[in-house]
Amino acid sequence: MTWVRMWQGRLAGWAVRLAAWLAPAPARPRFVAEWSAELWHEARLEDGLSPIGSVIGAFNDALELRRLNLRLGPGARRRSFMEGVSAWVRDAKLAMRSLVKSPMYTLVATLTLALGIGGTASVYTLLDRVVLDPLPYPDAHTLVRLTNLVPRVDPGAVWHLSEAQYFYFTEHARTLESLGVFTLGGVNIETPSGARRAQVANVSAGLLPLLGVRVQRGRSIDSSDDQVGAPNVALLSDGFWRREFGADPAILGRTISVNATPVEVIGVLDPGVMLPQPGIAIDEGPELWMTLKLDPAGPFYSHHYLSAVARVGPGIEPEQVTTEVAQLTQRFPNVFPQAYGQNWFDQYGFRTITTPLKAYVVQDVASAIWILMGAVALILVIAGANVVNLFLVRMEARRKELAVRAALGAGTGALARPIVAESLVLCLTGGALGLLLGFWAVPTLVALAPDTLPRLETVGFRTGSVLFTAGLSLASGLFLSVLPVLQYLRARDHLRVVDDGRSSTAGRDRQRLRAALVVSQVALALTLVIGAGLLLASLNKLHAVDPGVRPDGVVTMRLHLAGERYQGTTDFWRFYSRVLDGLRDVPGVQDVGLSSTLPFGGGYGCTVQGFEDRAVYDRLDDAGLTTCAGQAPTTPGYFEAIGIPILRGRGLVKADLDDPSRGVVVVSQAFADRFWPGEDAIGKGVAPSGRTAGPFYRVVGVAGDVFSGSVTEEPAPAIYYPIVPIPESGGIWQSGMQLFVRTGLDAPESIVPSVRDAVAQIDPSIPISDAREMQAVIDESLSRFSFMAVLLQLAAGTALLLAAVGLYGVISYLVSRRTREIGMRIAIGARPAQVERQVVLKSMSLLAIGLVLGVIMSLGATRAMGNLLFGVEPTHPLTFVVAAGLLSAVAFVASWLPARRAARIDPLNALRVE
Amino acid sequence: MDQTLSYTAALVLQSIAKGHQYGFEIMRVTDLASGTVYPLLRRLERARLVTSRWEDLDPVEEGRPRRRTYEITRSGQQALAAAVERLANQRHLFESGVSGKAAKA
Repeated sequence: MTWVRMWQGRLAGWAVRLAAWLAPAPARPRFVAEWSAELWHEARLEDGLSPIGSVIGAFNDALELRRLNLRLGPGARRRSFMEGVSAWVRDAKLAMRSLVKSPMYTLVATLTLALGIGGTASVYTLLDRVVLDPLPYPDAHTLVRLTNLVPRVDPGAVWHLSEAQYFYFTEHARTLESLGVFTLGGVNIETPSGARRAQVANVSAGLLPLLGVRVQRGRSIDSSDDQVGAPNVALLSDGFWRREFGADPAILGRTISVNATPVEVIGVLDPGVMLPQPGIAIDEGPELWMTLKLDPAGPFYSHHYLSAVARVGPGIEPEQVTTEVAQLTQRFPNVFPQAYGQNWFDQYGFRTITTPLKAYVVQDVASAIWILMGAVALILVIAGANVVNLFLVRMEARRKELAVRAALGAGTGALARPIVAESLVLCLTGGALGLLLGFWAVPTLVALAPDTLPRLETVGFRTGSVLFTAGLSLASGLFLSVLPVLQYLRARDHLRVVDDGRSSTAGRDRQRLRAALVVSQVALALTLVIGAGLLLASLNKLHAVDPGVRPDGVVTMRLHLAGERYQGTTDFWRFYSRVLDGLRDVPGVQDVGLSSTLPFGGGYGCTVQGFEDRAVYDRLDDAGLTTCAGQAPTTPGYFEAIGIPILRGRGLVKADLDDPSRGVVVVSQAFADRFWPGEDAIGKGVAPSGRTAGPFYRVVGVAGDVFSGSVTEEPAPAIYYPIVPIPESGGIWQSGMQLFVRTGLDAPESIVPSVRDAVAQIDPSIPISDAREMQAVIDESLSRFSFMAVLLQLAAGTALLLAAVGLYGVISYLVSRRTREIGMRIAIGARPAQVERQVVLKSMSLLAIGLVLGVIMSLGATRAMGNLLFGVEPTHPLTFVVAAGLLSAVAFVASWLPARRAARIDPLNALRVE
Repeated sequence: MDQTLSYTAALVLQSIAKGHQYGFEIMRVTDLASGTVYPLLRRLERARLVTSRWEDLDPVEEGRPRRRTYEITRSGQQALAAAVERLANQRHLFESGVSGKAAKA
């Protein structure tokens, strides 16, 4: 009988395939598979059901599937996902089509979103690279910087470590795994292309492994190189090796001339090796790395010149290091009595602190960038509010379409989808444009940024930024659709296919929502405008500060003497006086002079002075001050060349240097005020480098004040010694000098080649470096302020524009909805001016609420800007008033335009509307 | 789907709950026709009272086709419990056996 069953089975199989045609197409394969499998198993059972009998049900099953439109089994989910995707694609296509139909709306929405998203992504890139990225050192989070504070001598100043501290901490600090120190400077170096100035880092041997510095060729510096009396060795940076030595592999073992001293090149560093420094131009680390060769046997001085980086031991908190180091430092009066008196601690408040290395490198730039991030995020919010507003208007127009969809049985998801799709299309388009903006903006930001912005060399718009932009666009798309969707769902009950579109509570709800959006836009825009205004006010104050010098027409450059010919200050003066004489003959040169220090270039430093009058010391002790001041060896012509006025007495003249036994000196006003308050400084006796025994120099003149770093600081107390000291008194070793040339030229820098020629005629081995206009030096000292000011002004301007667009949009819309009402009013006698006033008043009331909120927000937000401001309180009333006025003016115009349109409504036409 | 189960739906669900996982097996234990069982299974699945999956095996290796198995879900169990309670309340209808007047044929 088996063949009967076989035939029955075959028949049943055909029946299943036949039945499958009744099932929906996507379900067919699984339908057949399930039925066939059951029949197959049934056929192998002793008491199996009759195949023909049971298969009749398959038709019923297929019909049921068709009715439920059900897809079978696993994969159904995948399939429904695919269908979901196609539904999204369909809605996205619809959205695009409808967006293309209203190009103005689309353009405004996309551009504002592009600004918001692109701006945020650009600043995020900056933030990510400069602030969030770890430093390029192994286990960078365990690295700290050790510095000293002297709050009662020089509040706010940070002193480096002394040699005594370095050796003592290395030996005794249990919380530190290792400690490395370095100094940065410049050297004259002979390269195949001639004499030039190179940046040099002198390091302790322990610093290199600490920072994970590796060589690509040769060997690194080890501890045997860093001993007193060891041969001079140097490492070259990759860039320096390529530039100056043509990447010559035979450089290893070769001897080069550094400051006219032979030094053996032992290795070439990997590319991109940097020292943790915020202040230097970091696009390139030091070009030359040499040893410090500190002597553990001393003698030790209280000379704090060693930048220190330490690695904290495993499991140790930075606070424990601070505690231990403080305890160790307390022993110094006993261990190093010659360098540290007890008064260092009692009077000066001298103490050693640790700072995470990253915090130091990133410094307050981090807060500046966070503020920028906040600013662009606000722009994004304002732009988003605009888009939501426009959205709500469009939704109004689509009420009927949505009502039809709802009536046809579309579920909540299906109804929300077109709204979300449109929002996504807008935001992704905006994001794509924002991406273009970012590619353009990030390099511009970098170019605009001050040189001292740390770690900028690593900034670029890369994959991470692109992903961020994409994510942000997507998130914005979803987020912006939330409000419209909620509004719509709330209003769904009110939607009717037949709706005259005039009166419904839902409409009033939406109007209230739009008003709230405009109010928040105004508030946010005000915050940005106030922030930008505060920076602008700071910048004005900064520019109003007398820089103390007359920079116009002045060029400055660095000269550095080295070699056998320059063994003492007399040799120096011989060279410099020839330079001065030679330059005075150059056409266009009015004045020329030299001094060791560049005002606004930082680093007047603080060197102790000796005073003839013992009463000075008592007074300083009482005030808790040290005798230190900026000590600048100077030549005649300096004050005239840079334009520092001589307030009393006279400046330095050539005869003072030709006959150094005259022993004359010029001090700055701040110097005179600090050390001889209320007295005449002229005729007082003072000696350099803390020589209390003299011989003393006589003050012959008081010069105007200058600033060491920037005008945001107190003027530096400066003392200008002649570069040739009183005979037999020991000179101030100063081989590097800053040359100042005052020209009558419109383009002062055009004088530089003539200066080079003039110097080369005297000694071709002396390089001239860092030629800049004095004005550029001053501008750069303010660059941090101007950078922030430019960017915040851009942000504020954008916010202002966007808020105006938002207000205009809402008021226009309100007017258009009230066309009939206004027409009626005019018909029964309202004057156009009345109508106009009414519309403007409506928007002014929104504005007023926004301004109040904005002021409250600003009071909180601007406090974060404290350290970016100069001479302006974060609550500067004038700025608040001006900002509010500006915003009001813009808002007035934005609402007056639609108001005027309202006033011109022709009642006859108006009544025909709808 | 309305969570109030019909009698047949409760029967099918109960057999699944007892571990009868194949469609034909359910037909056998409930004595219901495939034209009843299968559409019910579809509706129960749609209402998430049962879920289904394909047997996890390689048909070529095992030498037999994969079968589709059904399992009761948590909400299926709840619905079933409710149905059982409801049916228990109606049991008194049958307690005295088949009795009462029958209409004349």
